[in-house]
This record gives sequence, structure tokens and C-alpha cells, in this order.
Amino acid sequence: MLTPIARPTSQRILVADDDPVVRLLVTSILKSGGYTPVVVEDGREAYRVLRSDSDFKAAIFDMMMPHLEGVDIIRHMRTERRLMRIPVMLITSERDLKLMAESFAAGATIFLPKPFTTGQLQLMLRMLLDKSDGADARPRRVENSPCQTRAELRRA
Amino acid sequence: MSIIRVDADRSTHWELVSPAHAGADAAALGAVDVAVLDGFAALQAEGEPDLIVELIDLYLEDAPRKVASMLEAVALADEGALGRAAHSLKGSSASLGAGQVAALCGELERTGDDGSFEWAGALLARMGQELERARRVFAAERQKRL
Repeated sequence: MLTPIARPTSQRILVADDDPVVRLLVTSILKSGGYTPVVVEDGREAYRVLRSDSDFKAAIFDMMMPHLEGVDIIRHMRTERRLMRIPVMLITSERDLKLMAESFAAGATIFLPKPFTTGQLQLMLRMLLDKSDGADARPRRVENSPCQTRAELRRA
Repeated sequence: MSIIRVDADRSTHWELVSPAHAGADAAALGAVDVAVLDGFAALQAEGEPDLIVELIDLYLEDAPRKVASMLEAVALADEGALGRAAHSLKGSSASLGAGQVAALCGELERTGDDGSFEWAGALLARMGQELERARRVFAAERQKRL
């Protein structure tokens, strides 16, 4: 019998983005919400961190990064039991629905298009963590929100 | 503060800009939606360096590198490298309200997509002009916060 994995209590959130401006922005928003960002500059660094550390409440990855793209890390995370429970938000300036659909298929939990406001990132993060806590895993539509969930993509 | 100038011959130049030359003028108005920057003020943590100044400094340091990468990519006809650099600068420009720079990056991204570099040189020259307009606005915003 498999041992149940304990619910995460950490406030740490893994952030991977090769853009220093977006990194600082995301980090500042997370800190203002009481979270502890663990920040890396690309997908390869994120992969290295995840090899030895799974104590994250969530992860926020840029979709396009050098070395390893966001979706590549997600694929890895979904094959490792200790990383499976970590919900992942992909941030991207892509508007390609096919790419988004592929990312959902790989295991991305939610999308946030760039540019985003502070409020939009905070809202998406709450939705991401709600899903992770199992409070309400149903995709939700938020008025005036740019987010896209799997259900929204299917309808598009 | 260092900035980049991209000339019509695609050469790039780094320049030092003193605060005396850093004010936004009429020609630069509209290059940046300053309301976007103002929206980050609520994130300022007590006792920490000014967040908006930090964001502006990071952008002004990083954007010339991205333009240099695009110039190199065009010279090498490397569509992947052009697309990556344009995509990256598009994201940071849009995030800080530099809409015209972001739009040009989008065009450059598409130029690289079809392997045609016919317009890339002209777009990069325009990029130099738009970045300069954006820099003037950012520099003025920066001065206000120091």
C-alpha cells in the first residue's frame, strides 16, 4: 500500500523565468502575499532544484525559457510522485491555443497571459492553491480575467 | 545609466545618459503607459529599495542585450534566436507598459517564424527609436522616485 503524502504546509513557491523584470515582478507579488519565492533563472535550474527539493506549495514557470521550457519541467514533475501534487501556473505571452492545450495535456494547472496585473496574478494563485487543497477543483470562470482553464480551452 | 542606440546600419552603441538628459519630452509621451508602473506601487515593501526604480533599471539593462541578440540573430539568419530574443523582450516590455516596443517585438517574432528576414533590419531600426522613446519616459519616472 502506498504511503499517503502529507499535505504541504510550506509557503514556498518555485519561480522560473529567464526575464529579470518578470522575475522581480512575480517575486514581489508573492512576497506581498506572504509567500516565500524560490527563484531560478531558467528551466534547467528549476529541474536541478526539483531533483532534491519538493517542498513547494506551487510552481510558476515561464512557458518559454532557455535549456528547458516550462512544459518540459511539468512533464518531469508529473512522472515523479513526490512532485505530482505541486500545481503549476504557466505564464506566457503566447496566444497559441494549441501550445496551451499541449501544456494542459502535459499537466499544467493554469495559464496566466503576460502582461498581467498584480491582482490577476494574486487571483490566479488563489485559484491554483484552491485546486491544490482540493477545496474546489472545478475550473472557474473569473470575470475580466485573462486566465484560461482546460474547460475554457475546450470551448474556444 | 547605460542605454543602447541602434543605428540604421544595425550597429549598436552603448551610451551613458546623465540625469540632466533623462527627462521625458513630448516626443516620448505615450511610449510607456505609466499607469502600469504606478500599479506596482502597492507592492513596495518597507525598508526595501524602490521597486519601480529596480524594475526600470532591470529593463534598461536587459533590453539592449535583447536587441543585440536580435541583431546578431538577423546577421546569422537564425530565426530561432531572433524569435526567442523578441519573445522575451515582448514580455518584459508589455509588463512595464512599453506597448510600442512590445508590438515591434511581436512583429519581429513573426518575421523569424517564416524565415524571412527582409523586414527585420527595418523593424530593428524602428525598435531602436521606440526603445529610446521608452527610455526617456522610464528615466523621467525613475527620477521622480529618487
